[in-house]
Amino acid sequence: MSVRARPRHPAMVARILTAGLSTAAAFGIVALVARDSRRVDPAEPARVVEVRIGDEVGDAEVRSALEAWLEGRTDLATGGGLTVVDLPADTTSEPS
Amino acid sequence: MERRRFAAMGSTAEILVVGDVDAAALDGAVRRIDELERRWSRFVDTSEVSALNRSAGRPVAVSDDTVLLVRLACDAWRRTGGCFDPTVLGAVEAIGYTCSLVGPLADPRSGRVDRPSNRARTGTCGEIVVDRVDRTVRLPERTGFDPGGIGKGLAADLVSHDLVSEGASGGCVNIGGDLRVWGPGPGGRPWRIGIGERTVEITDVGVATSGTDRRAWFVDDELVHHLIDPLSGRPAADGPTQATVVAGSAWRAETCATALLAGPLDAVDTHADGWGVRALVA
Repeated sequence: MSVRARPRHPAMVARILTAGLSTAAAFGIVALVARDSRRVDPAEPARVVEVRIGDEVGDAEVRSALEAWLEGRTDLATGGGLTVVDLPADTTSEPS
Repeated sequence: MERRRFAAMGSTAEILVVGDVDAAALDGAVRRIDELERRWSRFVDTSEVSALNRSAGRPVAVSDDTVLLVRLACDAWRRTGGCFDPTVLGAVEAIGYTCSLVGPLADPRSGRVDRPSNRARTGTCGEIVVDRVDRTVRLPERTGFDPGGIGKGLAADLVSHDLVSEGASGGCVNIGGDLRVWGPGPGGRPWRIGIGERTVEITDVGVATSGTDRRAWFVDDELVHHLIDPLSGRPAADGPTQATVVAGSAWRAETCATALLAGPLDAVDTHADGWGVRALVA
C-alpha cells in the first residue's frame, strides 16, 4: 500500500511562495519558474507562474492570467462550445 | 450593448460589450488593435514583423506583443503537426501576395497581382528562436514569418482580455471574422454568431473562419489563394474550401482553421479531435 504525504495548507504555501519570490525579485538574484501549489486536483494541469529577473510578483500574476486567457476553455472536443439556433446573429464569422 | 465597427488589419473589426464599460475603454481597444497592426503587419515597412523578415538569421529586439505572437505561432505549428506553418511566407510571396489585399483585390477573379518574389525558404518553424527574457526573436536564415493566420485572432484575444480588465462582464471582439466572446451576451443569453447561413450560440470561446475563396487572385490565368499547403508550398487544393473552428481562444481557432484547409477533407474530424477543437467545414 502506498502512503502519500498530506499536502500543506494551500494558503500557507501561497504565502511562502509569494514572500520568497518577492525577495528574489527585489534583489534580482534569480529567475525562477515556480509552480503554483494551490492546485488540489491531480488531474488539473499545473499553473506555471514565470518570474523574470527584476520582475514584481504582480507582473508574473498578470502574465499568468493572460496565459490562462489565451488557452481558454479546454472542454470543446467533448461536446461543449456551441449550439445551432434559428435566430438572428449578433455578429458573424466569415472567411478573411 | 455598446458597439464599435471600424476597418482594421485588412478587414472590418467589431467590438461589442455589455456591462459597465465607458467610451474611453472602447477607444483604447480600437487604438490597441491599431497598435498591434502596426507591429505585426508584413505590409508595413516599420512593423516588427517586417524587421524580423529583413533580418532573418539574426536576433531582433521586439515588443512583448511580438514575442507572444511568434511564440504562439510556433506553438500552433507544433500542436497541428505542421499543418499550420507561419514560415510559408516565401511561398505566399512567390504566388504574388506581396501587398495588402483590401478592397477589390480581396474578391476572387476581380484583380491581378503581378509582383511574384522568389524568396526560398531554408528554415523551419522549429528553428525559430524566441528569447522571452531578452525579448528577441531570430528567424532561420532566408525564412520569412507570415502572421496572417494568427494575428487577427490573437489581437481579438488580447483586446478582449483588456476589456475584461476594464469591467466588461460580457463582450465580443471580432476582427475580420476571427473573434473571441466572453461572459453573457445581450440580455444575459449566449452570444449568437452567424456562420454562413447558420447561427450558433456560444459562450467563452474563440471562433475563426478561413476560406480559399477570399484573398484569391490570378497568376498567369491560374486562380490562386493565400492558404498555402506547407508540404507542397502551393495553395491548398485537396482540403475543404472553408473551415470554421471553435476553440478555447481566437488565436487557436484561427490557426486551426488555417491548418484544416491545408489538409485533406477526410482528415478534418481526426485533426479537430486531436487538437481539442470543434470544426464546421464546407
